[in-house]
Amino acid sequence: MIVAEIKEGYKEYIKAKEKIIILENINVKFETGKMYAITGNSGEGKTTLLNIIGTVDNLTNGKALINNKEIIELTENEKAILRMSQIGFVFQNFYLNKNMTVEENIMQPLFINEKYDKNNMKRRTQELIKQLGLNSREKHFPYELSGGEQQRVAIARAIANDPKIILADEPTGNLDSNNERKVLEILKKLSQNGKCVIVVSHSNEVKKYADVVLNLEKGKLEINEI
Amino acid sequence: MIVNQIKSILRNKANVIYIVIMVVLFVALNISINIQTIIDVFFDVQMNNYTEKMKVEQIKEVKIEQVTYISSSNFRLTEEKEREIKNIKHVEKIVNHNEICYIIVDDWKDIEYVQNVLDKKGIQISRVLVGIDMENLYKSYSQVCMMLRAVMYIIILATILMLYFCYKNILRNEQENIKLLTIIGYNKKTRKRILYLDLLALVLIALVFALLIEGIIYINIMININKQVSLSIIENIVSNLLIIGLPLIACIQKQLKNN
Repeated sequence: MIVAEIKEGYKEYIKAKEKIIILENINVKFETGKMYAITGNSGEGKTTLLNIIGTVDNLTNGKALINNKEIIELTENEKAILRMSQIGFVFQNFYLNKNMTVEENIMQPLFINEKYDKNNMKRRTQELIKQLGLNSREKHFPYELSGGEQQRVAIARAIANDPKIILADEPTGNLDSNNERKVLEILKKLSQNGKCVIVVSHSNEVKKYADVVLNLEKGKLEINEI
Repeated sequence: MIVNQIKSILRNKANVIYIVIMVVLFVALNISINIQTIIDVFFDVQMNNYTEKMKVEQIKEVKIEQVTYISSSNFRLTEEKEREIKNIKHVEKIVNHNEICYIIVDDWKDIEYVQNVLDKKGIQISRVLVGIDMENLYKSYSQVCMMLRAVMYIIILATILMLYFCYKNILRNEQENIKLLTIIGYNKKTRKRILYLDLLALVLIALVFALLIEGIIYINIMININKQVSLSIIENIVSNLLIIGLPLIACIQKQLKNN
């Protein structure tokens, strides 16, 4: 099932009166049950593409669609609901709340989901803690965890509301090779369980796990199905 | 959600220093708002000490020496003028003798007010306070009041500015967390509620500590002057709400515009 799509995508920035083209003629569809790796050199627009799919940024021209709805036509509230229910984010620097425990960090997205009352929230959080192998760490703060553990907390938070799309921006950038492998295995498993996982990465390791590799170069996208 | 957010902001050690600053500001603010009442009581005690054995009327009397529109040596205050003077705030009664009229005021501290009003109406009066000590005491009281009023306005202004600075820095510390909430899917209304509650939690903690300290200070003052001091609670609540609340609202609205 196609969950996200870019049609004739074009993105530019104006900096000091100079036009900088980031994305040009991007046409790509993202399906559930697949893992996508977006590769390319620094500054090629990988994170920009991810942010556009994540409704955090907009195209200058062209169409960006989530579940067949054009993102640009959505109100701020509708975008917020989309991010809450359909999209999960994972970042290179984990982006956890330093003053919240593991349990509290994972619960954050659940508070704004009307499906969850207090009991269900606790149950769902425990489920995720078990799934990501974070038992006995739930009352710990991020500074008490290793890099790999912190990223697993971030992934647990990202999938808390069972979104269809997971966007991961350099999720293994701050991890050693062992933890990198563990995190990529988790993301691969999520895609095998029916999610659409889109990973931006410089790492060659990611390509081994991806079903589709998208290479961004000079604003243009090259798609390679594996 | 709110409990988790408040726990998060309280666990941030950087916010402790802002709580301490707010405590100091609130104590200074409330003392400056209420100091007039305390000074009044203090001077009342001093005045009463001097006049223990004298009639109360002698302290409160004001003598009319001259009325501009009457040239006759036989002075009489007209009924119309008498009514006009009786309607002045703080005037209790008028005692009308042949050549001298006495205006009795509610409280010795209101003499200057009544004097100024009569002055504007063209009626010159002289103040009668028994003894030079009382006159000096009255002058000290007037000077202290003027100084305190200036100090109060400076403290209010400084409090508003410093509070805005505190709120701004607290929110700056939370900037990353607020961005995170946007990405997770918290809408603007929910983020606004969280920001208000976060700041209010810190303000309330500071207020509780400030009230405890103020309570200790007021009890000490009352023990020293050996008299009960009644403060206007409503005036205090309204002043505090405005001075604490306005910079809070301004700061959060600015934060939301930037996010």
